[in-house]
Amino acid sequence: MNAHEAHAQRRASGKTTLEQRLRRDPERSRRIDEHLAELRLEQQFLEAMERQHMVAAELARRVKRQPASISRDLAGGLSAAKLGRVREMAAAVDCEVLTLLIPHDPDERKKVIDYVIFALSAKENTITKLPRKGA
Amino acid sequence: MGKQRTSDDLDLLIGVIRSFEWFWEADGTMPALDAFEGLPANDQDAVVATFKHWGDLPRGLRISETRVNEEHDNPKIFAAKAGKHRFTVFHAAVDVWIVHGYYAKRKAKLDKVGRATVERAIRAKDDYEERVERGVYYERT
Repeated sequence: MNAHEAHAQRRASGKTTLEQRLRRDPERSRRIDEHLAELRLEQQFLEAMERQHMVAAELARRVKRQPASISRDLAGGLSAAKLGRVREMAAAVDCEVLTLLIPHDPDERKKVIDYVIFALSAKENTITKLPRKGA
Repeated sequence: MGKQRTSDDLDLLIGVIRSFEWFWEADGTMPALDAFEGLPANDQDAVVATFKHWGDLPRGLRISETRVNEEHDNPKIFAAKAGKHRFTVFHAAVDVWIVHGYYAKRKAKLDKVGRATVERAIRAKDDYEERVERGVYYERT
């Protein structure tokens, strides 16, 4: 039996993963999601920098900070960063930061998410309808 | 001597793209899981988040070297990082990766302990492939 077959067999027999067992504790599940949110933000910066063919030193130059400080931010430091700093870094890689407060209550959560999707679509339509420079 | 484990302990997590399982020694132990269980809860959560992030990352996207670093080229051995904690990982099948060992990073460069852990992971990959081939790796309770 190879890894793939063994994996499928374990899923079929209903065996759980360590992550699933840890997430039974709401506090730990919340902490894992907090760590994940930081990792995903770092990943978004990495991808934005790649799109711009930009290295950390160039990002540091654009936001007038030391390269070591940017490196720290992109390796866990964003968790303690002020929103203004994240916005400044995002602007330097030609992005904007969207801040959302999503309620835990399922009904309220759905309402907010529906509204956010609506608002983003409306914003996107406005941006795409703006006349291009020189047009 | 590590704790005796069963296939119930094997799976670390199943991501959207990649799944991770602990290396299962021939003697029935899973040393990387023992090391994981010895970490403080918050550090464990950070380790799980690193693997989850890697497991969900679409193919073709580069993960930050500050989170997953290639420690050896042939065979490929990676280190998944969370703070000072490092877990060595090798590829097993299309979407399955094996978490083999653990070391705590103390210096900027790979130190003696880290290097030895990577070397053990290289040998473990051969051992894993040989036992899967013989049909004795997963064929345990």
